Formats: sequence, C-alpha cells, structure tokens
Amino acid sequence: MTCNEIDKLLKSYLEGETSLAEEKILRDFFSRGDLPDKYKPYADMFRGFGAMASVQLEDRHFEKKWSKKVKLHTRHGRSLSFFSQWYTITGVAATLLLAVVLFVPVKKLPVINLFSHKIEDTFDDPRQAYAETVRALLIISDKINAGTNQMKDLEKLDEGLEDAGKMLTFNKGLKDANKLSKFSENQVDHNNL
Amino acid sequence: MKTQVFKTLLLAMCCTPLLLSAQNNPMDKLFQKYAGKDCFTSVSISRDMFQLFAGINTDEADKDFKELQEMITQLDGLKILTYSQSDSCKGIDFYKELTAVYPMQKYTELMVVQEKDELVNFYILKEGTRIPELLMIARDPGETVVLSLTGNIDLNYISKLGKSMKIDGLDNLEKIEEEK
Repeated sequence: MTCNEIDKLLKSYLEGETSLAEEKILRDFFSRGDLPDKYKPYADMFRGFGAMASVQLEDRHFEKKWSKKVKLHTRHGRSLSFFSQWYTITGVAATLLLAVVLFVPVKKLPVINLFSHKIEDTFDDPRQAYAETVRALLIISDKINAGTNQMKDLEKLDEGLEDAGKMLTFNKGLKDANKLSKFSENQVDHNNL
Repeated sequence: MKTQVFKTLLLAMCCTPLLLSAQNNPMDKLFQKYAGKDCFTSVSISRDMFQLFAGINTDEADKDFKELQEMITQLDGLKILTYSQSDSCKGIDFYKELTAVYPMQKYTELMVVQEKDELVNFYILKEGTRIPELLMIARDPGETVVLSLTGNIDLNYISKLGKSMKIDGLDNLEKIEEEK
C-alpha cells in the first residue's frame, strides 16, 4: 500500500466517494502502529470507527422498539396536523365568508335572491327600456312643470298685487295733495280777507 | 359536538340581518300582487339596464344627450304600475290599496297638480340633501298610475328635461331606433 494510493483513497473518502471495501482498506491501514506523521490526525478517527463497529448492543430488539416508537410518534403527529388542517379550513372559510359579506353588496348575494322574489325587467332591449325611461322622465318633468308654471301664474298675481300696492300709496299721495290744495285755498281765502 | 352547535348558532346570528334587509319595498309588493293581472300594465327597468344605457353611443357629441345619459346611469330602478278601470276588474280601489301599502308618513309631499279631472301627487324620500326615491301617483276617473323612480335623483334636472329635451331627446331616440 503506497502513500500515493492512501492519499488518493483518503481524498475520495473525505468526499464520500469510497466503496465499503476501500473504506476497509483505509481502516486497516490506520489501525497499524507505524503510521507516517502526516496521517496521525486521521488515525484517531478511523480507530474510533473501528471501535464503534465492535460495540455490541445488549438489547437485541432495540431497533424494533425504536422504530415502533418512531411510528407511534409520527401517528401522533399526523393526528395533530389533522386538527390543524381542520382549523385552517374553517379559518379560510370564515375569512371568505367575511370577505363576501363585506365586499359584495347585500342585494347581490344569491342567498338574498332566494328570499326576495325578483321582479323581472320588462324590456330585454336596452334601447326600448331607454325609450320608456325617457318617456317616463318626460311625463314627470311635464307634470312638475305644469305645477311650477301655475306657481308662475301666482307670481304674476303677486306682481300685480305689488303694483296695486303702489297704486294705494299713489292714492294716499293724492289725498295729501288734496289736503294741500285745501290748505292753499284757505290761504287764498285768508289773503282775501 | 358543542362547538358545532355553537358555530351554527353564530352563523345564524350573522345571517339574520341579511334576511331582514331582504324585506321588499312597497313597490315590489304591489308588483308581486298586480303585475300581469287584468287591467294592470307594468313596466320595470332595473339598475343593470340603466347601466347598459351608458354604452349607447351617439355619433356626435350631443351635450344634452350626454347629460341625460349621466343622469340615467345614476338611477337604480324605474317601476310603473298602471291600473285602467274596465268591466273585467271592477271593485279594485287601487289608490286605497296603494296608500295602504306605502308608508306615506315617510314621504314628503312635493306637489299636487290638478289638471282638469286628473290629480297628480309627487312624493319624495329625503336622505339629507339626497333624494333616493321619487314617487308619482296620478289619478283620473278611469286610471291610476303609480310611478317610482329610485336612485340618485336630480329633481332640477328632471324638471329642466321637459323644457330642453323634448325635441332633441326624441330626436336621439329615433336615431337609436334606426341604429338597430
């Protein structure tokens, strides 16, 4: 076994590319007493592996017991995740419901349509519907205007009354003028005396 | 399963207000009762239809028409129910029925117009400065008409409409008819 070969094996061992047989060669080599200095740091490691291989388990069913326990554990874990899944599902459902309630107008919810009898549109053709709408609006407008026009007549009456009021003050003025003329007559009489 | 019961209860509680809000408005009630019956003519135009109007395009940019379009797309619904008296349906006092169904105390009487033997009442619902509903009830000896316009109603615009649109508006309508 040359040093070159050992170097090569060691390198591939450290990269995890050695076969079982090659590893055995390495182990045998490092278990030797007379190692060159540069291999000493590795010697402990390989000797340790050798010692571990020789350890015998006291309980022969150890592995079985262990795997049983692992299985139990995973089953327990799965049942836990089953619950957490359930929580996730209800959580998502609740969020969706909340989103629907918050963002969809109440009247558009399908549930509501079940309870309120929907009145069908009279027209399928928007143009016809448009014509009907405009007709209705014009009727409303016409009636409202008929009402407000009568109010305008009232306004005219009001204006008339105002004019009449002016006439009244004019009348009053005339009366005053009369008094004045009487006064002047008196004065003339007085002068004549 | 206590939690299950609890959840169901909670859901029911959440849904109750929704169901309560599904209560019909008076016009819907009248429609359910009378639409399609003898002597009644009904017209119902929904919000969806009004939204479709927005898609109607005229070739030239007609300002009046655009205004009208804009006003109409703000509406939620138009419902007209006309009762014409005839021999086949005597004994229905539609006006009485109407006033019984409508909660009149909620409405403000806008005006009463009497022309010859026709009496027209206008009522509005008020929400602050907004008018969500205009109700017109017109009566003459042979006919009773109830018209309910819902949405965002601009009364000024409607009253202006008759003066400005009468000719232009109908012109546009004819154009629309031709486009078909």
